[in-house]
Amino acid sequence: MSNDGIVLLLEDNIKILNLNRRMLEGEGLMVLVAKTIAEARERLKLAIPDVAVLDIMLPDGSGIDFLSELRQTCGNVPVLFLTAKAERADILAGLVAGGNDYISKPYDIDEFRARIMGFIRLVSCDRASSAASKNASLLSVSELSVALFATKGMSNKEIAEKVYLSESRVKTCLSSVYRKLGIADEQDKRRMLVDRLEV
Amino acid sequence: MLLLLRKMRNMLFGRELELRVRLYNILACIGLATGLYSGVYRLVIGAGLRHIWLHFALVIFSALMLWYATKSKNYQRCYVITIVVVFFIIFPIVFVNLGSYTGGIPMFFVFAVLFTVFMLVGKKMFVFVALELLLYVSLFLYAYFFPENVSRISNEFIIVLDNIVVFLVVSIGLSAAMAAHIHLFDKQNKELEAARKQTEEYAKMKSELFAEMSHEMRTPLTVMSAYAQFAVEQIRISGANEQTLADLSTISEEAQRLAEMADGTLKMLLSFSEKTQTNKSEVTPVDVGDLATRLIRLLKPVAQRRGSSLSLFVENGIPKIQGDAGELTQLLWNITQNALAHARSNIEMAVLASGATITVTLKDDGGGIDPKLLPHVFERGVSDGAEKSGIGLSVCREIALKHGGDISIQNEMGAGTCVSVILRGRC
Repeated sequence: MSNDGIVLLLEDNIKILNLNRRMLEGEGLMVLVAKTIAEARERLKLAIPDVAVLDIMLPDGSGIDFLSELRQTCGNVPVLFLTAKAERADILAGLVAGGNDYISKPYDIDEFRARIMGFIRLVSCDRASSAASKNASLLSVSELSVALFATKGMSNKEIAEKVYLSESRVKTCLSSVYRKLGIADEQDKRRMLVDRLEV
Repeated sequence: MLLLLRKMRNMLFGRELELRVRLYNILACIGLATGLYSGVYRLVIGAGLRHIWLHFALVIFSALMLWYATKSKNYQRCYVITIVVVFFIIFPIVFVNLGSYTGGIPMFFVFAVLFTVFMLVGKKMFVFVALELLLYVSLFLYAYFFPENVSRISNEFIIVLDNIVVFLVVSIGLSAAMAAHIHLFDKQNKELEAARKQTEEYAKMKSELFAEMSHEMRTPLTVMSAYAQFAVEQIRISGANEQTLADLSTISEEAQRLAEMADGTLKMLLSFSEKTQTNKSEVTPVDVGDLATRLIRLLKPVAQRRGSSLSLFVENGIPKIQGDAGELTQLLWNITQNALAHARSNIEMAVLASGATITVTLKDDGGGIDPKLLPHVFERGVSDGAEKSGIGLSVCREIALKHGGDISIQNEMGAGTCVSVILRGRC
């Protein structure tokens, strides 16, 4: 099952981040992960997400402040706040600031997943690719998908099976990814790719 | 000469003297000046010795009392002696011998009553005031019913002169006393207000920290609930695999972490509330290293959230000291709270022992303390001028002193401050 959707997760707790990533990847989504606002900025240079999940209290700032920055680069991307701030005033602040949805921790993962999938259905599937075609420095959907599998240590062959592409097509995709990310080092390409995409 | 005058002024009316002492010195000076003036005046106009001796007696008495009061510091006794000698003996004599109610003496009676109120307290004040009222009223009646026993000033001009002089002396004396009073009142009000603000800020700072701590305690709960839900789902779909088992271990670890945090918070809150309720010290053998470990474990997530690392080094084999665990917790809490408020990115606590003496040091990499404030940070009500208060530090010093130790603070070379606490245990 592939949804071709891209989700940005901004969450400073690595355990929650990993769980959410596994869950959404299980739904066939491409997941960009960031533990800090700085990392999230870096991810936005690679791809425009279809949905963004933001924590509010982050080591280098507030998710609510980051929201306006996100809107500037990504337009009307649906934003879901997932945060421990659970007071009515916090929820209102998040929504008034422009968030589309708000879930407070501890949260129900089925509900979380359902809401994300709802947003994914709302946005048209070619959103990311059309954004990418406008901005040549961004990764295309297939490039991002190949790159994300590559960071998990899969061989080109394994990736090809996952994304239903030929091995040579995967290779072309990957070299295009390396070019766009400015990774030139022949020896250590995979590790540098991990550096750019992992937390 | 000017220097001598200034020195005299500081000695008699200096700011560090208690208000009553300053009032008393004002009174003595007035007595000195009045006696001197009227004595010399009468000498000049060639009045008889019978009229003059009293004035010089007043001068000598005032000077003597001024000297005795500053030497002995036994002001309460001086007040009583003065009231008896001047207000109960000299004033009536002057009234009867030097002009009765036609002169300025009645104004001195008002002066006497007011100064008695200023200087004495409680029952003593009421008794003396009542006696003075009774005495002065009786004197007026006596002068009216037995005019032959009371001398009067016959010269109209001298009556006017007498009234002017006494009016000036009394009004200036009373104004000075009132001004001193009001000034003191304003000053105390300002101090109270400042202290209240600081207490408020300190409480705010503390409750913010507690709020952040409780926020941090929600995190393990979130992890636990999400992982448990996910594990249930995975088991339902594909049975338990390695990943599911790892997820379940995560839940158990987080539960452990949460339990430790809850335990630490509860103990801390209890020791704080017991402290404020009983205000009594309970001395038991205390493991300071253990206290520090608990505290740092509790505040570490908050520090991380604020972008600072908080580390602790506890030397092996720290001996227990006799002390009050609640007070010592409060001490460690206060210095750590200050460090958290000021640190840029790093706070290091160390607990070391040499013999039976325990040293706790706490370094932060904040902006340091204004060198001008540094010698005063342990005084109550001194803060770094920003919104964060230093009121906690005066409490810290009290606690350290109680535990046979002391606390010092210095700016580190480069940046930040280092607080050192020495503890030896209470006897």
